[in-house]
Amino acid sequence: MGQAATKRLTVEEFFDWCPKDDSRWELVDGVPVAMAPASDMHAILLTRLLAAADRALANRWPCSARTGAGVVRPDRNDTFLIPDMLVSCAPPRRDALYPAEPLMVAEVLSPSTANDDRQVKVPIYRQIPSIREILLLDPMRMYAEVLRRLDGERWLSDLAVLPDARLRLESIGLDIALADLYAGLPLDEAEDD
Amino acid sequence: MAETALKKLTVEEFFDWCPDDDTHWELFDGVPVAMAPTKSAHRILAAKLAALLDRALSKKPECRVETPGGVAKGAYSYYEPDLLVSCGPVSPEERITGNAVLIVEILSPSTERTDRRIKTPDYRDMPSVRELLLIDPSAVYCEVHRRHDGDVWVVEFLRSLSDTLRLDSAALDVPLYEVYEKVPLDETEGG
Repeated sequence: MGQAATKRLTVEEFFDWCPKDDSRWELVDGVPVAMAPASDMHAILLTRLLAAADRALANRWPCSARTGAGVVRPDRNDTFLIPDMLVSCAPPRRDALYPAEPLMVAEVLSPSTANDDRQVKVPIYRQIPSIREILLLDPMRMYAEVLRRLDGERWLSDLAVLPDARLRLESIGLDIALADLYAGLPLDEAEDD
Repeated sequence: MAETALKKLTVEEFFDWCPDDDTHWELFDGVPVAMAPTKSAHRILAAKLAALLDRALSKKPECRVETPGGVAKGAYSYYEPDLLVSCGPVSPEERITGNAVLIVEILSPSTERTDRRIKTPDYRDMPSVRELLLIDPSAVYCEVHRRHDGDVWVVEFLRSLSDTLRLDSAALDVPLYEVYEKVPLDETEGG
């Protein structure tokens, strides 16, 4: 049970260290973690979500949705996460590596990341006071889970799983039927695997 | 794209059809589905939770713990949650528990998606259900879903052995180190 004497990185050290290739990395508790490539279904659903968020925010500049943007914990300097979608209403700064004051974040789940998304990333997102809503979307079946901050530490959980159910994100004024969000995607039919 | 002309079973037809062997079956919208055999961490956690709940329910003589439970949603769905607590009258021959106040599902990689996507919304739709516990047997992780107001649910997340698992519907208030005391957790977890 030997411990490897790894040095944990701060966010600044991580940015210096980060390979300048096309791979994407996150930093969790000082440890860099490579992100898995996204599936095609993941990419399509994320694009739909971004388009819907962009429409919902059309008249609310500087609120804007982005993908690939990072999140840091305000209370710690060793964590940098990249949610699939992030909305911030802070005015963008030309030299910033990540947006200030994230308002909501979304993760499109995949079998390889669902557990980490729930047990590692969601708890970190909940620690960030500016985040009001966290969306988890399943790309293989209709499933939208919205965690909405009720007050301080308490979170409501809204589940939408049927075609006529609606995904509602109050923080950005988004309201879309799951049937539209998932339109045409080859979803799993069986419920038992 | 041939469609099989499957006849959906009602819960009553399902009980007549259900093979009388040791296999457990559930009914999802009219379709019977066999339940996967459990693993040791799952069974140890289930036994511990049953013991803790049973002890806590000495304060609520009208309530009892069942493991596994049996609940119906509408005419075409029947689930066996890992544990449930029900209160009020109970009849010995009843297959379906109609007055569950607490439902517990022990998560596993093979069933988590169904537990979350199918069962959780259906459990929330059962008017008697006040609390829902989703608990991971491989890492310290619990979600307590509580009915907040009508169909609005608040979730509490527990991730540390020093956190307290509080289930008001069963008068349970116990630290997680006690819940997980004998459960063999994954060593690979980084946290």
